[in-house]
Amino acid sequence: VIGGMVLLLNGRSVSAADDKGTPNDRDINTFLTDIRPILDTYCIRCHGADKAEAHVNFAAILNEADARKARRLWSKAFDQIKNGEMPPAEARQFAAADRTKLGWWLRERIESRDPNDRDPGPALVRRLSRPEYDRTLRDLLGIDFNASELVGIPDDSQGHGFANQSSILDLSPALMEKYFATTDQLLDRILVPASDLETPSTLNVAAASEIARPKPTANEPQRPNDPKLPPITKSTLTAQYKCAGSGAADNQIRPQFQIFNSGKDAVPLRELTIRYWFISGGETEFQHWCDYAKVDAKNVTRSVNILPKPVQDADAYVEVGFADGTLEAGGNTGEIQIRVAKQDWKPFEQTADYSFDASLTTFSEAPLVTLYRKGKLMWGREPSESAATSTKKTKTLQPAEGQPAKDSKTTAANTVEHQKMLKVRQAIFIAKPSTELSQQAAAKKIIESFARKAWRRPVQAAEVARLMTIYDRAVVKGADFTNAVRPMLKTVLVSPNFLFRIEQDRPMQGLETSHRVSDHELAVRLSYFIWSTLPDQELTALADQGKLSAPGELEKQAKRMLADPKSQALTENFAVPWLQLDNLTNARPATEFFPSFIPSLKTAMYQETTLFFDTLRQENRNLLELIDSDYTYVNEELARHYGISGVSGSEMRKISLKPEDHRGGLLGMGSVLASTSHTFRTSPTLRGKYVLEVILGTPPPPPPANVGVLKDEAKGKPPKTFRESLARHSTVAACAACHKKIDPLGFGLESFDAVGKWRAGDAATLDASGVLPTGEKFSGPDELKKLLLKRKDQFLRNLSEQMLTYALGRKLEDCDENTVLDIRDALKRDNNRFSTLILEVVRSFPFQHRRNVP
Amino acid sequence: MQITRRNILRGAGAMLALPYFESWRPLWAAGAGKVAGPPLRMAIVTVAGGTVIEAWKPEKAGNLDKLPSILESLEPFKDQMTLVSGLSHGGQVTGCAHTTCSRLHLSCGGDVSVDQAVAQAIGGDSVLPSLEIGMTNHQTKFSYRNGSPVPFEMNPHLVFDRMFKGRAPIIPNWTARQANLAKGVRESVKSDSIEQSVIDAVLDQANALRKDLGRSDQRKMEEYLHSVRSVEKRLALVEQQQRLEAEEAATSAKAPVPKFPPKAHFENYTNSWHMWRSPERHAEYIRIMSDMLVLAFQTDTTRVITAALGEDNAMFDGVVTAGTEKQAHALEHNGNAPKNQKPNPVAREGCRQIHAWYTQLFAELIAKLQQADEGGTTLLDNCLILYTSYMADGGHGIEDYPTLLVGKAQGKLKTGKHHAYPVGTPVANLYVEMLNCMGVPTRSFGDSHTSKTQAFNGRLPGIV
Repeated sequence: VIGGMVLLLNGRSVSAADDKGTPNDRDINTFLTDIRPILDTYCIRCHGADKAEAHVNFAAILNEADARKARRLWSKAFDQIKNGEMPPAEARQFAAADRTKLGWWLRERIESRDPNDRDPGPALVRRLSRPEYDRTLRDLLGIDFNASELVGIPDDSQGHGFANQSSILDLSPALMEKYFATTDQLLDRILVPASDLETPSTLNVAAASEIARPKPTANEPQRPNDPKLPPITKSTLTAQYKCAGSGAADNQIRPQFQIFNSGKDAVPLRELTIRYWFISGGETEFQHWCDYAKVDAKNVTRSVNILPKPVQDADAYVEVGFADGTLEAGGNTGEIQIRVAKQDWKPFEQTADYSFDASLTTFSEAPLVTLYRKGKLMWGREPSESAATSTKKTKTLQPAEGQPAKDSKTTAANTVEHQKMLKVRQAIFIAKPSTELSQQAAAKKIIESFARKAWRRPVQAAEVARLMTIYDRAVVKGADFTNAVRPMLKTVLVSPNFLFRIEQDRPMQGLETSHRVSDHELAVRLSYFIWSTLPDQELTALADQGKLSAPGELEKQAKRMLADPKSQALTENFAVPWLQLDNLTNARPATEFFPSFIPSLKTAMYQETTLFFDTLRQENRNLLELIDSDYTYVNEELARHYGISGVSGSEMRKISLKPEDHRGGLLGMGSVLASTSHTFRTSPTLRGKYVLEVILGTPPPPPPANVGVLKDEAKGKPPKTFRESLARHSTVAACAACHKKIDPLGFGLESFDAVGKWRAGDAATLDASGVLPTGEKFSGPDELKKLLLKRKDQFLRNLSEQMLTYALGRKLEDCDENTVLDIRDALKRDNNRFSTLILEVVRSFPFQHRRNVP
Repeated sequence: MQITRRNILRGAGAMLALPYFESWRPLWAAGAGKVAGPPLRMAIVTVAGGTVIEAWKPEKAGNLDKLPSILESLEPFKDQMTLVSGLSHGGQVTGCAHTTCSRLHLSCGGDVSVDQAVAQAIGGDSVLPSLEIGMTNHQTKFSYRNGSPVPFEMNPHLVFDRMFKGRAPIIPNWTARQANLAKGVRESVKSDSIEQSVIDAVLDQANALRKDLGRSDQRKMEEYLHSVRSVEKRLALVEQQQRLEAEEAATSAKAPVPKFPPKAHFENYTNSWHMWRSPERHAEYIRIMSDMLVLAFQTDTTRVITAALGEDNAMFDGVVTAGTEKQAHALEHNGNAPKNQKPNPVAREGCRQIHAWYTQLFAELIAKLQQADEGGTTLLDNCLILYTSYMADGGHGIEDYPTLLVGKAQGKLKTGKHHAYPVGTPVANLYVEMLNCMGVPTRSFGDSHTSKTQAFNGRLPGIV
């Protein structure tokens, strides 16, 4: 069928061509004389200046130089012709001689590589994408903080691209505002008040296990660690509180809580309640929210209760409880963020509130917040019944009478969260002012080291000096040491040096058109490629010593990074968008028609695919397993859905597949099958498009404007099956050219229903056969997969192209074509190993070089 | 000032663009003596899925008579409405039709959308230059500045926080406000805070970087500079507003703060799927966003809002009673056939029901604007609201858009009429009229003078 082209299917090396008796010294600068006439005859009608379908315009290639440059175009054209997709059936077909001539020319064109003519393509400034920003903050500070979710940083992804592409990473004013907000929240959280570090804690931890209602006590102020105080026994349930609001004249009360269970038994959350005591200011109606809770905000119950009679510094309390769940032994609830506002949004005067403590800007054990189990006080001290006896001034200093007390510093420091934050803080505050070290000098050391890490490069003295002007100004304004360092930290984190990945242009020597990136730039490229985050110590040290680019070292590092769990970023940020897995969340099939298609099943489907991709990486497997494999991941629910027996339990695990399971590879996965279906039926078109676009990398052009979907009623006999009605695609000329390519691939997957169940029962009506434009016939998914394996060159090329796009953060250009083919060829030589894909990208010319930006 | 594509184009335009943004008037100086009473505000409420034109467009031009069925719920506001028909976008729909339509929708082929153009001119007078709220899926990229999409905020809690960070929701007494402005209570001064020092430092860093970068990278740095400056501006504005509102505390009324629906209904607003699935949730969401819109205007937090409401993928069980298909997207396609083919009448009826439902919710918003008193006038009197959709119909059509203006725009509009222009008249002409209405004198916008079907010299005769 394909004549001369068939010979070209395999082997791109010239010597291979020689074996078949083809000249290898063919002059390929014959575009105008040999090729132009062929294109004019067969192609130009659709791919010329007038129509330029699929954005292909051969008329724009005017001379040999243009023809030399258009590598990607030739590469795609070669694949399309080879697969019989072009010219379309209804158009004029190539004469055999023309096909052969064009075929050889295309191949030679694609083959030709001048090693001296290498261009790394543009390397543009890139803002950190949302996941990169989150991970960078996490690794910079060493805390798990989902920054973007908290302040609602928008998702960068547009359609189906990777979110890390320079061209889409805008920085709008709204986003900038969010970066400022995130940074504030972050610093709020990690800057444990200085006093905690330098002096014994001022927190008074008056905990009680079985505490009786405390009596009013003497109001003589006492230090919490006053030796006169009796010791306190500690309850196994403790409440921590953090003040998230400024207090005075705020129109919202913003307490945050955490409950710790240091006991040996799990506690049902339902039994626990927290009270936060405050002064209502005469209001009786309040609005309240739970903005966030690690245990799920939906699970948090709230009420505001007015006391019949005011008590010490309070006449109302917010009660926070839980609908469900368990607090494990040794566990904690994580953050619970509450907000309360008056109906009319009048400000509160919180400083006098019983439970309020503005000094607790980080989670601390706070005895003025009370914790109950089944209504019984477990922790803290309720306000005294007498509203008159006490004042706010003394409240933090009053221990519960008769309660054993412990050294408060130890108790406070004992809490896990507090410890963690202290560590984070200490990692930042690397220098401490002392008699030898002035405050200014300490601040300078701190910011120098912080900026070095955050900006991922050595920092200039002038840059540090500029940062220090902020410190100086804050000191003049009366800030203490921590609060004078704080705005410098903020500056570093909202700086363009942090938010963007910047590589500076360099003067070129002589005829140079590109240069090797510096070791520091290379470290950044490497770590954001494999980890989506900043370089770790080892990479940084190697870059500092100028050793990262040394022979062997780069690969050694890439391998080390792949083995690190942080490389899971490749699944989340590469595989998920590439495989369009996010479509599963909003997949259309409705439970009305497919009752089993519930969120838990969707989750299992999603995990099947991500775990599968993780395995390819972790076990350095053959990438063709994406097309077909003898294993997959399921839990009981998904196994039942797939008709596979012998799996019980909700955790996902690897299973071996038998041929009769008809699973294995992406096309057997529920995630792919369900996200390409309609509300109540499959869509061979969407599935076919998925194969073309995602697997083979040849997305069909979108349908022309003003084209509707298929009509049920049309002249003549009504179609009996959906397939028949879909067959009309091929009769309408506007549709046919593309749908002949798309639909048959989807027909092959008709053995799966709209949510990916095997349709065993409908064998009579089911038709899962298809004919490709090449004339290749197949039936059912198993044969389809075999057919796709025959096109593994195309698949591997696509995967190489996708991975290079992801690594470079930009659309590929003609100059990248050779790199793509090099990666593909290396894969083929090495049994298509996952690590080869990554290492080849790292080894590639554009990954290690850059040219100045025009 | 003339807003044309050319003077804000990229390339050299990246440089030009910044001065353009900087053309905000000195913060309060200009506004002080001039405005007596409440300011004029503009909102664009844009829904998904186009419309069903025969149930939207009255047969006759002239005074509005009985309204077509989609618009029925707006009957009480008929005398404050200006229905404009025949407007169309030009150009070719290529790529994803929804994306193309989104891009054309408010920008008409230019690099700035009409809401942002207005915000750039008048936004400096309020705490936020503009507010973009609603769905944030990939198709709702409606607002553009300098060719870049402005993100929409989907979560009403975050919208609220953004508006009232550091200030209370109070309704200004406009007489007192004008007096205070005259007294210079809200003088524009650079903030003296440490926050300002942070801003100064990062501006320095970006300026230093910009010098050493290639041209295309410079553009990124300029975008950064612009964004930081807007944070800076906001910092100054909030401080000024605090002074002003403190001064007025005694005379100002409290704004009724809407009740937020339980967050659980929306899974913390990270995924709009929950609301698409249920018309009740969907309506609840549209209502709270409408409330945010009213609150933002009432408290003079912003004067320009774009609210993208509705969703093509939503399910409409209970709203659509015709047929068995309930998904908007499927109905839109089945109800809008390609040329020379008949659309499915059942699906078309489904589309009509969906749009009547959207309009009902829009009418609730209008009623709230009318109920809000601004000292003798209603908030609606001081508004120019455009109710429209990003497509003309559910088949990605770009001809004969649904465009309805509501509100008298402080008497600038001759309301109560249906103006039927020839189909093909650029939508851009309407935006030229809206810009002028909002006090931005301009002769052209987007493709108003370059469209193949340009008409009326870029204007809509008769509507003002």
